[in-house]
Amino acid sequence: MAHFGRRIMQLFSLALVALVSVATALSTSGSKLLVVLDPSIKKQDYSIFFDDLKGRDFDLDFRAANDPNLSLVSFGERAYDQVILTLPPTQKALGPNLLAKPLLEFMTSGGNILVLLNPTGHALGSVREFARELGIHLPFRDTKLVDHFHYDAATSPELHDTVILDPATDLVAVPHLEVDSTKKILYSGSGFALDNNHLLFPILRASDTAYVYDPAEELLESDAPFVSGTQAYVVAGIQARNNARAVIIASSSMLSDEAFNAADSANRELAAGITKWTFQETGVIKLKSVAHKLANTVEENPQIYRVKQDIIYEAEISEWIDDKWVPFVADDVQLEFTMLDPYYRLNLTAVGVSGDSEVYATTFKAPDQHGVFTFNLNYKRTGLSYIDDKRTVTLRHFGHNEFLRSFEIPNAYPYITSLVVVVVAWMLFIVLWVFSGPEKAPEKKTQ
Amino acid sequence: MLLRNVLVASLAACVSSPLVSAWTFSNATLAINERSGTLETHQFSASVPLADIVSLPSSALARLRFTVRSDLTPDTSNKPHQAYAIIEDPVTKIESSFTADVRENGRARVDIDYKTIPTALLGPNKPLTVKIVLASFGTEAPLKVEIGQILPVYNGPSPAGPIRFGPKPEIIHIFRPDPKFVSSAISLFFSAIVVTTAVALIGSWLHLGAAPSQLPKALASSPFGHLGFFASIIAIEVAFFNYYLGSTIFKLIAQISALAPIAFLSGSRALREVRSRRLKGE
Repeated sequence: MAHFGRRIMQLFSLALVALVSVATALSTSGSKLLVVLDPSIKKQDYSIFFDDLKGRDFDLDFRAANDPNLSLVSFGERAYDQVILTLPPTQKALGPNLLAKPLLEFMTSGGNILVLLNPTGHALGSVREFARELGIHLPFRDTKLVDHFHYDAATSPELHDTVILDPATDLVAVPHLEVDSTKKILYSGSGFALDNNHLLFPILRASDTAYVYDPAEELLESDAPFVSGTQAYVVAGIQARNNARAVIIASSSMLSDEAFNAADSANRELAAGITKWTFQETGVIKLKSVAHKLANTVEENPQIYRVKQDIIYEAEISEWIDDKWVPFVADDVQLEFTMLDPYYRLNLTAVGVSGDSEVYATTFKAPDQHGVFTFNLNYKRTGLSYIDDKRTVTLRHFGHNEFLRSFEIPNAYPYITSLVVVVVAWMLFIVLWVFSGPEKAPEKKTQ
Repeated sequence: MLLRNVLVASLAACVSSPLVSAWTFSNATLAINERSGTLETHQFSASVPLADIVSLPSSALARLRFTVRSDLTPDTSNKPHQAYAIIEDPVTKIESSFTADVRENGRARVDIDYKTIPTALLGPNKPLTVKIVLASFGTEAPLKVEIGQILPVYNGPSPAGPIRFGPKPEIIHIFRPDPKFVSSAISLFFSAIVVTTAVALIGSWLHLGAAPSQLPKALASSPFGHLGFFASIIAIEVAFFNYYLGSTIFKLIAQISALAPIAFLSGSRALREVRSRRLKGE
């Protein structure tokens, strides 16, 4: 009976594993997606956006912010892998579960967050605080981004608040988003300012003539814009040091069916690109293995090397494309060999493909300084997941029997010669001393 | 909010005229002002930019004055919503905007104070492009025109750029120099001198008449003593030579402890024989 029970359990767990592997087909970080949808936002206005997400195997859970059962955490674990947060148009609290601290803790535990600000530019205190922690400074409520040079004449002939952004010039994160540069991006809402922070991932900015103004304060002239020109951003993200990602879109209207269906609109491709990056479907790389060894040997990852030995270092890196790991190709992977300071910083060269990863390798001569050294592979690039791998080894000095022998050093020849000459001459002297004597008996003495 | 939009729209509507009109400016000057007074003044217009790069000392400000007008509209509306002077680094494309103070009659003034230029735009010999942007709601054509370049005078080292991810310069460890060796020829020359000295010494012995003349007699009287003595001395030298070549100290101790008694016993016999000869006066 017990045996039968075990079999059942095995079958069950197999089925579970199969289910999980199907469910996490596209995102590397999981498919459980919470959508905090404000009642003021009609789901059908964003049907294409949500259907696209469902089509990418996300498991959408729509909740209102005031849902009493809503929690990002259950039993100390993340309850969701991804969160989309929409905001109400007017002052309203989002509840204790969506304050800045729980949102940041959710990111700390590896979850990804996409925040869609309301087109009115209204951001609640909690979201404002969350954004400020990320280094994104949200605009004041009711402010508008306008551009008198690039606006949609059909929808805003007078107010110029539906601006047209050009993917060719305004899209910053080009390598990670596939957007047709002949199309246009429609945008209406406000714009925000960014910190000077290298963890930030700016995605879309305003054109150089755009500016944010507050209709209440600056009705007649823009005398103190909140942010202007290419310093104004409308989509920006951040990748935390644990690779969790958060993206803030300054206006949810950008993702509406209306914007998607507009003629020549690139919004849908852009939305797909942004959500793919946010939810760890693109820009995801991983270090598959690391090996270091002495040149011309087979033993991998020894604990100790000697100074001036030739060391081979190899790292295998894969990238997640669509639904599988493929070799990751780059020409700027670097290895540092450090003891407090880097003694070496070497560009690794791609030497070939091993299974689903690219092999990067280099060979170098260990420095003539003994101590504890670290192989430090620190590959951090904006938009890509971070790789930081440290391997510590000991570098010993020469052993007493590993130096040059005296007969290999020309300077020592006279000394060696002297030694040999003394030995030979001494032997000869002994022979002469022992066996020498007068040719004849010294009879003359008696005279 | 709606009311505000309607307000802006009506304002824009009254600004715009049925004819196609455009924002422009005239009577434009760029003055470099210091506390002590105006250093220099340059004229420019929307179609004729500044001829030369104007340098801006660190204690000065660049003051742009111009008269805004909208073609074909009454003077009372000569106030665009956006009247900016934009300075841009032509290399990095980083820019910063300064808002113009426009009066009802269209007279406008922008001060680009050296102290308010963001540090990202400052650097040694880094001219900045100055643009004027005039635009407003409605249908009037906006204006963006480049009016020339200013060069904020910057003395000192290049400011450090912001921290960004990216490859860093390569570092290759520089080894300490290897010990230098004298050439073999010189070394062999001195070795030859040593050998010559030894040869001269041995030659002088032979010249003085030293010869192993008593060898047959000595061997006959004490064969074990002499043969054993010399053989053990040579064997000890060979043992030391092996140690020099790489044998271990333990082998050497074993060999020497075997050879030493032989050398001692045979040596004492050999020397006893030598003494007997010496006593006989041979």
